[in-house]
Amino acid sequence: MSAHDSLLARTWHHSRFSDLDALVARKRRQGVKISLAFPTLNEEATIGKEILVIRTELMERRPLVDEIAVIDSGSKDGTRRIAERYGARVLESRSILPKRGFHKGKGENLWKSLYALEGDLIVWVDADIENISPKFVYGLVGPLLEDPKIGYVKAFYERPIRSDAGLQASGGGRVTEILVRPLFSLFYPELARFVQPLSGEYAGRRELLECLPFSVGYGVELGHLVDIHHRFGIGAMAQVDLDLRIHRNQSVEALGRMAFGILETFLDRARRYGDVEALRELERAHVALRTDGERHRVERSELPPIERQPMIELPEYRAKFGRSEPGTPTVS
Amino acid sequence: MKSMQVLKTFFSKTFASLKRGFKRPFGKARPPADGLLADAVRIAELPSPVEREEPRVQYVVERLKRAGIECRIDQDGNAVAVFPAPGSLDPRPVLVHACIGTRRWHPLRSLSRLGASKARGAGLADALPAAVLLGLAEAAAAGVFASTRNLVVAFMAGSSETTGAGAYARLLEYLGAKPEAAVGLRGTGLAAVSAGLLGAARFSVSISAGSASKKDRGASTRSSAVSLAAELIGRLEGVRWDATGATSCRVVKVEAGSGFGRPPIDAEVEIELESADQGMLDLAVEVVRATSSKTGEASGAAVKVAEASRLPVPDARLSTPLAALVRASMKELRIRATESIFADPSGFLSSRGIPATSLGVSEAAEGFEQDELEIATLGAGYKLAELVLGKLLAASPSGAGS
Repeated sequence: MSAHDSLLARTWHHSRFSDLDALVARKRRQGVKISLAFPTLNEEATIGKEILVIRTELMERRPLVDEIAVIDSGSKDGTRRIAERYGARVLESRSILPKRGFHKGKGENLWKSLYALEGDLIVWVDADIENISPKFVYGLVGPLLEDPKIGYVKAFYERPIRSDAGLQASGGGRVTEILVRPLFSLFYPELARFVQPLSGEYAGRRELLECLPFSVGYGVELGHLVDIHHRFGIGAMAQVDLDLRIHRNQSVEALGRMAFGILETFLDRARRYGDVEALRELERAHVALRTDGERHRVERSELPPIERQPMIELPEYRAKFGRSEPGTPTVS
Repeated sequence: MKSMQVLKTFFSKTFASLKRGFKRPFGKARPPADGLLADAVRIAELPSPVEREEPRVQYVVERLKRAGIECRIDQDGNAVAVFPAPGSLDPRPVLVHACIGTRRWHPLRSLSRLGASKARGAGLADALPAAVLLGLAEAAAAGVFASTRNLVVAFMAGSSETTGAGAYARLLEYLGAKPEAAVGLRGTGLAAVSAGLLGAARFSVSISAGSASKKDRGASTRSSAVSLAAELIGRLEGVRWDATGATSCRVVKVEAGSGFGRPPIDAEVEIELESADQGMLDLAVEVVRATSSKTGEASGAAVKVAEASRLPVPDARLSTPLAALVRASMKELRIRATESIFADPSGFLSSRGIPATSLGVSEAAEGFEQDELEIATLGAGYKLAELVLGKLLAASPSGAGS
């Protein structure tokens, strides 16, 4: 194993943490609360089952999770109604920290959930998963409960492509393989050991998460990894195999915009940590080409790289959670 | 006659137990409908049919284990849990059972979707009985039932269409004691009570017109698999089986396959026979076999007839008192009973002298691509099953004279 392979020693299969009684016992001994949040925007098709399964198995049958919340970006469908029906606390992102404004984006919802949730351990799970099961949560909290040195756990899985014929075994994770892994390989080879660096399921300790800036848009996951790597070290991170994640796949056009946002965040972090130097100001819009008959036209998507400051820097957050002025963060 | 008297005594005592009620009626151990729904959607996602329904049985075993309930797997892969009644001298248990498999699983469509009031998913209705049975097992373990006799809970490793007489016979051998009464759980037809019970036989007729279609590719050719299937259906649907109409034949499914630019060369027709008379049912089976085999003889098509399942005509004398108990329970719960005549898998048990009936646990509609469940009805279905089971368990053993 090379020096960069440290993460592989903290790579496990979810079954290692499947003894829920043992996890609950650890949780009680440590006196921690665990919160789960789903960031949502128009996910009525899947959010109901996600909440029902996790609530039934991990709150009612085994008290592993203490609260389940949906942080919604203004869904126009039945997402909020269905989430309430199945027992989640439903919060509109714009109503959390209203004086701090509102930006539409998943990262915004995750950032605000830190203020709204009570837990010491925070779990975030995307709301578009069709094959949700309890392992999506216990697989992520297990390492946090087992090892106090671990502060952040990321999920990985097979991501089949859906088609009319059914599922094709692989094909998901295109932005990871084409963009992120090559970038990590060049700049942060330790992070290249993440199987799914962009996965939308992860969990962390509050005292770590509150120290991180949050990209509001597509780059939130990548930003986390680079920030944690620099501030806490690769040793604070782990990853868990959750086998399979079935969800709707995105078009290449959508992935293109996503890749642009991710690249923006990457360059921002690389500059911030002195790993690259910008020789000129970069463009802020993604350019796609569309054809109208024989002519091509440009489709620009403005994707401003909005960042939220670390939550610990907000006086209202410190007051709510009894935190002192931000110093050097540690993971205890 | 003596055994009929014993049955009458048993059920009259069961009715008397209406007054005694439950030890802890609808107490803490009663699972809310959401818990049942959670189990149902998770079971529905698991592949089926597979050998011994292992993934689904494993789910059930794990659930029971986490609820502190030991269960055993018998030779057919069925998961069986026994709840002894303290002090009971009568070895004859009450059996409650549900099939855990389905023929309608799909890797994507069985990932159910939940709305505020409805749930949808392929094969979801077939997962509901096992979910309700898990709830009943938990209730039994929590002491909800004031039991005077043992309870056996059996998750049958097959679908309702494919779990046949042999599986139930082997289950009874495994139990070693003939149940006093048996209740099967169905995924649909919450309010349906049998006004008469039927036996049934289901066939799959495979037609291959491959060699014939090579000679004549016209769309209207008599030798295409579709036209042969239509010919078979036409022959069977026109048959008047008996003067009273107690025997019927219907086509359950027709599928035909086609390649690009070619007429369909393969077809499959599923046929179901039902009858209230065992002799008539047996005769109808032979007629269907013969008619199917002859179809396509003239055009040289290959026809294979396979019997998928056979359900004997139940003994109405045994089933009637139990059906009356079900009606009374529905009345108590203000469920408006719908009298129906249908083929009931409880016939496998009543043909062995065991009073048996089945209960629908929801109002769900089975669809070709997906089932649709009114979620609120699942809670009502559970209450009905719990009430009926509670009454059966609370009835005193028949004692001397049985």
